[in-house]
Amino acid sequence: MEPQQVAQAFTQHFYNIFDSDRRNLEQIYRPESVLSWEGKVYQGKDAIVKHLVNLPFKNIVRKIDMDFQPTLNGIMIFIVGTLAIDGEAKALKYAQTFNLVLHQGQYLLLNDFFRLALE
Amino acid sequence: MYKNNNNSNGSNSANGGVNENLKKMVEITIAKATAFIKEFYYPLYDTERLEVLNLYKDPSISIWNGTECQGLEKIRNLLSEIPKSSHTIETFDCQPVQSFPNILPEDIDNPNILITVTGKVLYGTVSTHNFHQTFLLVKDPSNPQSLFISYDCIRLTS
Repeated sequence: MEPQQVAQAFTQHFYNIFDSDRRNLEQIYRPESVLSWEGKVYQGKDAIVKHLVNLPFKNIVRKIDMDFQPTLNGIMIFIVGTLAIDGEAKALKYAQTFNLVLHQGQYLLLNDFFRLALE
Repeated sequence: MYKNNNNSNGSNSANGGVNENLKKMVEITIAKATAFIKEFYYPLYDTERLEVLNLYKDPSISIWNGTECQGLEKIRNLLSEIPKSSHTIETFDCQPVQSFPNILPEDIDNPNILITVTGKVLYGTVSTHNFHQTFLLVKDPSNPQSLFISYDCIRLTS
């Protein structure tokens, strides 16, 4: 698969799961994954998924722009976008970075950064 | 900035050593990334622009708002063309980029590092923009104790 296709497929897959049932994120994160969420660092699948599942919202409507860059052993994905939570009219701006590593034919999510933009 | 979640990693309890290594890598990463942002990249960028070139090597790629520059010559041109700048850092996050599947012993004290930064930048005297920038710092093969910018990408978001 071309890097662009990998980036698009992963991004779509990740957000489909995130925006529908965050418990299924345990399929994506691994023991080695690290998440920076609004300045706090969560280490490992269990801690990460527990944090994300406990976030106090249900529905997200999202619009994004995506850039990507192949790395020596994988691909980095940069997303800038907006998200509207639980039907609120005002959408929040955010930025997210994923670092995926290619291992035995699969792209694994190792690093994840999420920040809402300060307004 | 670092929250210790060891007690919720039930599946890693057999790998206490692995958690300790990752924890140490995170601490070292925070120290190095803080120095990179606060003492090197942005201060130099704003006051000694061409010194920033020393942070790159020839395989480096620098992307400015969608314009990609690969190699020292193109990066030098890019640095010369951008107007005088003044950056205000609002947030930054950093993580070690561990080798996979196993953390190598030499990586614990000296990991590759991913940094994301948000803030405001003034170019010239008039136009201020919000920006988002990502850096990938990797070990210099000819001098492994030293990191260089393998990749950086800045997007102006306003």
